[in-house]
Amino acid sequence: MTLRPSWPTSLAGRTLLLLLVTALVIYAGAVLAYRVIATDSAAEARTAQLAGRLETAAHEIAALGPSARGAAARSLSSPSFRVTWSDAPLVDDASAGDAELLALCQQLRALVAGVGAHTIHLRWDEHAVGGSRSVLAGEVEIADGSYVVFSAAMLPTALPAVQGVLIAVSLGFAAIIAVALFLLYGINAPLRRLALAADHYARDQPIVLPERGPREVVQAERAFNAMQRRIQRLIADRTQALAAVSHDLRTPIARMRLRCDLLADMGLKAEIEPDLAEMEAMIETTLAYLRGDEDNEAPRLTDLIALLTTLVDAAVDAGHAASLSGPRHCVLMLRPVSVKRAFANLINNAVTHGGCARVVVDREPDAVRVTIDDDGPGIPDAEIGRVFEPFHRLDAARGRGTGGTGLGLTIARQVFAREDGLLVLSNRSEGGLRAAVTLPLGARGAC
Amino acid sequence: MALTSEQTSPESSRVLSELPPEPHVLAVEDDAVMRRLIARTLQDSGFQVSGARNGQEMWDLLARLPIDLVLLDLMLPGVGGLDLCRTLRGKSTIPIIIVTARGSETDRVLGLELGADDYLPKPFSGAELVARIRAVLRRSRMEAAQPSAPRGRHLHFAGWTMDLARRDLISPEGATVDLSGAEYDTLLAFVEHPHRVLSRDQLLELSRNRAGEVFDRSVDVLVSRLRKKIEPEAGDQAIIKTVRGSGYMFVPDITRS
Repeated sequence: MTLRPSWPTSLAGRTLLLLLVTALVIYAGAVLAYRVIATDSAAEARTAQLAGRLETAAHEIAALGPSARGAAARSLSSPSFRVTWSDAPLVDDASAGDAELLALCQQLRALVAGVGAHTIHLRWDEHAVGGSRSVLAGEVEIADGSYVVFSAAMLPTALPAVQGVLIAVSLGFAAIIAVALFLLYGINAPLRRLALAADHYARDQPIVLPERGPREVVQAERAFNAMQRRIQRLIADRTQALAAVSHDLRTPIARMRLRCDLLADMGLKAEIEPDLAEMEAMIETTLAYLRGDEDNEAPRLTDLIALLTTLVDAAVDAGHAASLSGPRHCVLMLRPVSVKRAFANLINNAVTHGGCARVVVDREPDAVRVTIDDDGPGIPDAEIGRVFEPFHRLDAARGRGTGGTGLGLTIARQVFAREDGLLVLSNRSEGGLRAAVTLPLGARGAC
Repeated sequence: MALTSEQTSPESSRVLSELPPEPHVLAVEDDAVMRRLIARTLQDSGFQVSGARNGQEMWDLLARLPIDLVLLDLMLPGVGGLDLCRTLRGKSTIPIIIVTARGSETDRVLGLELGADDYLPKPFSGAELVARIRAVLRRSRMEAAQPSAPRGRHLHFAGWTMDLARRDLISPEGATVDLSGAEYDTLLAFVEHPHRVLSRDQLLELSRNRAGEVFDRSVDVLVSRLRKKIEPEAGDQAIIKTVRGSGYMFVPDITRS
């Protein structure tokens, strides 16, 4: 049951992670380098100190006569640096196999004046002298062939206080990270603005970006604003073209309608009629949909019951099973032409696809609810969201004879939304579809 | 058109002979084919028709011929139909019906404000064209017969208002009451002949606006539907009274504005 840590996904997160890793690497490297350098210089200092003492000792001893050398050596000794004199070599040289001893040998030759090409023997001595861990034992030949023998305790080098350096470096990195976060914010904010504007587009009022800030941000925002404008223009052009075509179709259809009415052949007339009617209906709905938001019909106080009665009566006259029930009196502020068209679409759907239309008007607190039920197959749950899309038609309805452009529900929803109302479709448990329209009563409504 | 023996009012014979024998319609339409089709349609229904391609020809023909009604297409080259309508109304009281393929509500309202008597969106059926022309002619004849009565497209009765140009009915509380085409035409027939008993056949004749259509619903059903919409709760004074054995009568007084 191990938890896999997930990589951060935000720009800030990733940059921060990268910075921290880099910081740690540099940090560790710096500390390591520091230790190495410090150790080296400490070692050098130690060697120089040893060389200094050796030089003093050798010089003093060489200047004395042999009988005084022993005493002089003793007086030059200290707990960490023992000197004796011997006229024969005492120390076995171990520097042949030890690189460190060889190096020390080189350094001593360089540092101790008067050694020159004289012999130096060095070896490590494990015997503790004065409690120290490691002892360097050696001898240096002096001018007359005798040896100054020494034993020096190599104290472990103490690094100067590292804590101060660590704190300084940490503060440095904290400052860098703070600056980095500040810079990141400068990039994040415009990115978030861009995302918000893109999200808003075609859903709410388009957001125009301010085109301010670093050059790349300005470029991106300018490009985005230009793209929004281009798309708006494209849509407007297409809409206009569609409207123009639909509109222009009215003229030849007007001619055909008069010709059809003049036909003496009743059979032919009966055949042409429905097609003409279908064409007219398609054009009307398409134009109604395109005009949607611009239609400047003004809301008027309207008798909703009378409006619904006309539609239901028309359905009954056409041979469909339709009924209306509800209060005798119900007036609302709404746009009668649009609302009548919307309800006509709903009732038409009910009788065409559902076989009947039962319209019920209910009073609700501050609203009126109009329900249109049918006994048809309803709409498959998967499609219920999609039926409001323009020109979307259910596969079941695509056959000739059921007509329709797929705009009826789109227009209806548009219309009711303009009245601050709501249209909801649902499948009834008893079977069939329910179209429920809710309209606010408003200040002047009475039901 | 034989009158039935159900008529009781001596004035009812006047009801059906209000139109001139062959009204002369001037169709101002730049599409030649459309002009021809309109002419044929109207001639088949007993009208005389002349055609004009533009405003210039319209003025020309109006000056030379006795025109009873002008059918004006709004989309004319040169001087637009709306301007022509305004100018024509400024010079004469001749009935004008405007026709246009641009079916927006604004155009309709604008046209009516500029003085047109009715508005017909394209495409329209031949029967609708004939019926509308007849209705407008009847109305103008009525107004001509009562020159002292105020002209206007609003009729008032019992608190209700009918907008003859917009074909609207407004209740006493100010609400628009939707009427089907047939219901509106039936009501129109009533208000054009108030205080008279109208037989079913007469009502049928007067309100038949869709002459080509098979008129399924009987007049009784139409009147019953109309009553449901305009009459107050049972008990109050009726607007349309049933006269047993004869027909119906429109009760309230009418004023115009």
